Amino acid sequence: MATRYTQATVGLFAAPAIWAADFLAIYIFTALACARRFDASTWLGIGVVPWVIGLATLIALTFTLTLTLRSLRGARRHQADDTALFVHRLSAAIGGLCSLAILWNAWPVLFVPICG
Amino acid sequence: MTASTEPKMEYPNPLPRPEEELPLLEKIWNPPSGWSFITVVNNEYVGLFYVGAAFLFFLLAGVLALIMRTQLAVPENDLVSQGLYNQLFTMHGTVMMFLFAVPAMEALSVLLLPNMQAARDLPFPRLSAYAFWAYFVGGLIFFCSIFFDLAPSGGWFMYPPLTSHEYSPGHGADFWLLGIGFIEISAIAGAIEIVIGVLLTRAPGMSLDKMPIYCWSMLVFAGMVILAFPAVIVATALLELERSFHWPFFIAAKGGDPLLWQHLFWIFGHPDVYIMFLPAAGLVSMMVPAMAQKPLVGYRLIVLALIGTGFLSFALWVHHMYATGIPQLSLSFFNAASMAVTVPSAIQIFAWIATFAAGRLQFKTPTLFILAFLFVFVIGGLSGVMVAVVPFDWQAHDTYFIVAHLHYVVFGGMVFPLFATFYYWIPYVSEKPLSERLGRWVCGLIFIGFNLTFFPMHITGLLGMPRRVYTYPAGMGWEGLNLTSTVGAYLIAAGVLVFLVDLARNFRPFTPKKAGNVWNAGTLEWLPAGEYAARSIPIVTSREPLWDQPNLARDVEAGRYYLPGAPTGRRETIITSPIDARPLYILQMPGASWPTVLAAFGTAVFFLLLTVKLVVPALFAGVFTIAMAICWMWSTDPGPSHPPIDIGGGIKLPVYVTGPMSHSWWAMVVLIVVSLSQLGCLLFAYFFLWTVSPEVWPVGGAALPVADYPFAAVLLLVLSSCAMAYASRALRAARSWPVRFSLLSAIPLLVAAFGVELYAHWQSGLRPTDSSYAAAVYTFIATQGFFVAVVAVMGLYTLARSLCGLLNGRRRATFDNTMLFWHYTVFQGLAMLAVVHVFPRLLE
Amino acid sequence: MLNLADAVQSALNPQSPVSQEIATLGWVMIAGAALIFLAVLALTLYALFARDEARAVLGGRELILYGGVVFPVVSLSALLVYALLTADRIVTRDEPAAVRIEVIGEQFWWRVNYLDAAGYTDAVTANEIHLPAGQAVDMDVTSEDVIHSFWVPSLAGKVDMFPGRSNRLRLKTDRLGVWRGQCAEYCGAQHAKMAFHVVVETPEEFAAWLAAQRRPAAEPLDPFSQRGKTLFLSKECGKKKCCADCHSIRGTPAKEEEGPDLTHVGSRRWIVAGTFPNNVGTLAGWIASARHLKPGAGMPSFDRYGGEDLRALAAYMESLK
Repeated sequence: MATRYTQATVGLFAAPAIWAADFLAIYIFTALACARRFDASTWLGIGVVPWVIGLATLIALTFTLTLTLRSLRGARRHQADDTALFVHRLSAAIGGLCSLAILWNAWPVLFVPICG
Repeated sequence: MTASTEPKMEYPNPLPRPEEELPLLEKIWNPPSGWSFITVVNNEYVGLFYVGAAFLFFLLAGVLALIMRTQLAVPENDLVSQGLYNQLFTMHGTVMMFLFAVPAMEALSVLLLPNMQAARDLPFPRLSAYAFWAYFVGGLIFFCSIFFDLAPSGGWFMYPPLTSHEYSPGHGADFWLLGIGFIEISAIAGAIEIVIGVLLTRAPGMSLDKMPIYCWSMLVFAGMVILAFPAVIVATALLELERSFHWPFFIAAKGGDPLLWQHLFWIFGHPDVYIMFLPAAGLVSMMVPAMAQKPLVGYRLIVLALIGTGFLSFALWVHHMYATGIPQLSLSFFNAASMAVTVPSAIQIFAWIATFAAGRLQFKTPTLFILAFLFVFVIGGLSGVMVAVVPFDWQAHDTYFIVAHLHYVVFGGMVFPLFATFYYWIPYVSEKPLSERLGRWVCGLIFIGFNLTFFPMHITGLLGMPRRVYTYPAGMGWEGLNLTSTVGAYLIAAGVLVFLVDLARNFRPFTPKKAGNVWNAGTLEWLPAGEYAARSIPIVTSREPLWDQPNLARDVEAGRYYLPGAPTGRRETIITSPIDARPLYILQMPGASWPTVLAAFGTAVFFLLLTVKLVVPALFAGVFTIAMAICWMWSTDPGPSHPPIDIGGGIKLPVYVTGPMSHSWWAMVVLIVVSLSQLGCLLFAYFFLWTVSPEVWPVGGAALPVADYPFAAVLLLVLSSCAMAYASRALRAARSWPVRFSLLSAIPLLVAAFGVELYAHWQSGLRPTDSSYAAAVYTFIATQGFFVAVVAVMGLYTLARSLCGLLNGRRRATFDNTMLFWHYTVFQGLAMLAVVHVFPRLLE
Repeated sequence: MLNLADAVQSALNPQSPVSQEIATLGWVMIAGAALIFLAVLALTLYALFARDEARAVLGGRELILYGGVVFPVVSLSALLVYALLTADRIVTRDEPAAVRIEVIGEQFWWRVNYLDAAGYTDAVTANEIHLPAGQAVDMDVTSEDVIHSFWVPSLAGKVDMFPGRSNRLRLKTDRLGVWRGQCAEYCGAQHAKMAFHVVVETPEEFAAWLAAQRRPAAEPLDPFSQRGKTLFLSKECGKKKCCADCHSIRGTPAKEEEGPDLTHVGSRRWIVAGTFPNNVGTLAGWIASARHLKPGAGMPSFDRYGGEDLRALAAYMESLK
């Protein structure tokens, strides 16, 4: 029971946790960049803020999409068990929603000035 | 969908049932009579009191709104003064948000949740009674402040510096801070109970995929309360510290920042909108299938929507702060997150429409309110997308456009479903249903009145009328729109009045004869029930058991399912596993008690006295409250008082478990999550203030106490935790005196660690009024001091139980809970020491 | 001459490129919202009242997936890009400001300081801001006490004013005229009566106005106004603080800065933070019964003065062009 419980908890909450970590990371980094005025520094011609947001988004998306795929595979394995099937499909859907939120959160850096 | 043709099953318990079984069950669950009736803890009674109290606050805050609308009917009106008007809108917002909306949702769950899961009661019945009485008494006192011109007038959002001691002297703001802070604590208590109730007290077989949507929505609701409410409690504590002791968190001249309040307030405040809406959406998802006589389409997508909204709503707080000068990119993150949270709401709306199409809707009053809700809420959602767009909000923010939007969302998303709920579930508690004829009038008047009041406000706002103005000049083009809004407000009032008439004529609660399942609904709360809820606890095999399991009601009532009596002679329910709902053990629950109610009164009086700065009487009230709480707790760890019980079907369940199997252990874990959220908010405050005012931080650690102090404190903390761990081992080995000795030594170790940290900063010359940095450091210390005091009381209580022979290797739930919280307190102390002593040393 | 009655305060009456940009965004969203609302309404009615075979088509998960997932994702993606592009156009400043003005919110009025190139105060006024048409102006807004919000809907969105922080708002418009603004963040008792006016004039008119504002006050010419000046400077007003204890009139001994600077109060179109049009009658009424007209404001009611005194004081104020 403990492993089933752990699996369900991780499946349902891992993607939102990654989304939250990504959101906080880029929000805090941007706030510090503007407060301490290092928003103008660049590396390889690209600003530090776009760098950090781009990398954070890539890492977070890799995780959430992997989780989504794993949940979908899990769902295929548990066709007979209603509850397990439900939990896996729900986890996959949550992973998808979190991926969308992570992706949308990265768009602003392409359009608006950072500290403005 | 689950097929309705289950294989022929054996019933867990044979018929006929022994004759004495039912009278005993009734005797055990009967509420007390006479004066003691107010000590009742049965969820149906407490739930109805609770819903009634919340509705009373809705009416009171509604009257305030009518006075405001009358004042604004014409320009330059002088019906009320600016002072009274500012109190009116502050109280209207505060009462609606804190005393009506959130409590109403918790109240409904006390009333409905256990029965939907065929549990006999919520897992902590005395806690719900306490939460209700504390809220009711505290809320009434708070509301009455307006009759004495003592009400707060800083707006329901209480932005400092307007609410600081300098700009709001007097007790008004203190009423708000202490009153609301304390009602939030009651809300958190309720939320903990809901989490445990949903996860552990479902009917056998009601696995996660068969749980009623309402239970899902309350689970998410409770999770959000647990994570969001600590933010507002921290915020109110900081502002009260600034008001009373001049600790400068929000004073710019001393390194504070008014924006800190806004962050903390909206980290709570935005989720709060969804905290009100999600339970209402859950109720709608229960009513729609019943009214359409078809299962909900897209069950899993709706669960996704509930959970998704729960998470995403925490990333929206800054969209109340678009005009504050926060960096443009930061604002845009919140614009994007606001888009993401729209998707789950859209999912729910289309799921309801799909269910309409799949079934055939009966146009009864609940249906009408649901259609009205859809109409209004869709408009509110669309205007929500508009105000989430940063540039548009620069115009719309703090105008009547927002007043319109928020009422479309909150009144639309919560009050319309609430009226639907009243019409739908009153047959569940009353002898007669409400009147269909009057119900149509109620719905029509409120719907037309609502749109007449609030739709024009969109335009008024775009025409430039700001919110929270007690009057406005003529000739701005606002007159006609305002007059229309006022007329609409009176129509809403007329609708509510007709509803009250309907209640007076038809609502007959507290009766054994219920109108019952008049809608032919499919969920378990419609099972025939007595004071003990369902006679026997059924095995659930589908989402709508009453539709899919033939004769279920008859068999449940006959006692053919689990636990048809009260084998231990006390109130009991079955604890089941969180995912699959397999029976785990029998929970013995406490009944009515005076100390619970007295503790609630004591708490309310304590906060009231504190508000008016009568500190010594307040201390007496506090001690009285703690004494009552201890009286109430004393009987709640019964131990393995009874051998395992056969609940039927060959299942033998223990009546007592400890550790990670136990519901009380889980409740403690949830309380630790609450504490972690509180710790997170304090850390946020510390780092936020550093970001704003690095000049008041001891850069490089030069001004910090020497490192010996924190090292000593760390050592003491760790030793204290070790003492508890040792006590735990000794308890397992059934050696009483080592347990007592290490319990007794763990307390001074913890107190000493706190003392060392306090002394270290005090001797270094730092005073909390010096700067925002100093205030933040002393806030850590004060918080830790509060936790140490709580844990010390818990330790002494555990010791007392050991001395009375109520603690041993098997009967140890009290000890386990104390130990868990002890370790958390030590962890919190270590985390705070690390931040205070290490972080500044890293700066250059 | 500008028409005073037309001082518009409406986001639906955009008079600058920025407010036009926001209004367009608003109209696009309103149109989109109206269409979506009608579509949802139509779907609901169809699901309820169409023939059974027809409406059953909507009764599955497909409706939720297309209506609740695909459609919002597509339309909100488009809206997000449009919103971000609009925000970018509004906040990007590609030319240096020709004029810098510091506006300080106070309970319940607006202190306005025109700054020179070095950032020092060049001219001081209150509750009425003049701008040169066609030139970029930076408004540095802050607060002296509680949070206020600077908002002239016809010219731009609002910006909050915090004690201890300064926020910058860029204003630029070609349209000549007077626009009304109002405090948009609840700031206490008289939040409702904290308005101001923005006068956009030609650069030449603006330069002349600013030059006039820099000059100290002119000496009153007629004896009646001189009596008003004497009263203004007198310490015998029957209150703890008299006129000159809070207000300054440059060129006279009145130098206190607690209340609005009155050096050129006669040149302003409105008094009491945009509450009353400026004339001898309103001035006298305000001096006599401020506590009644705007309770909670800092100004006391000078009820000891008789009618003659009040008229003299008002005439003096009126003379301070």
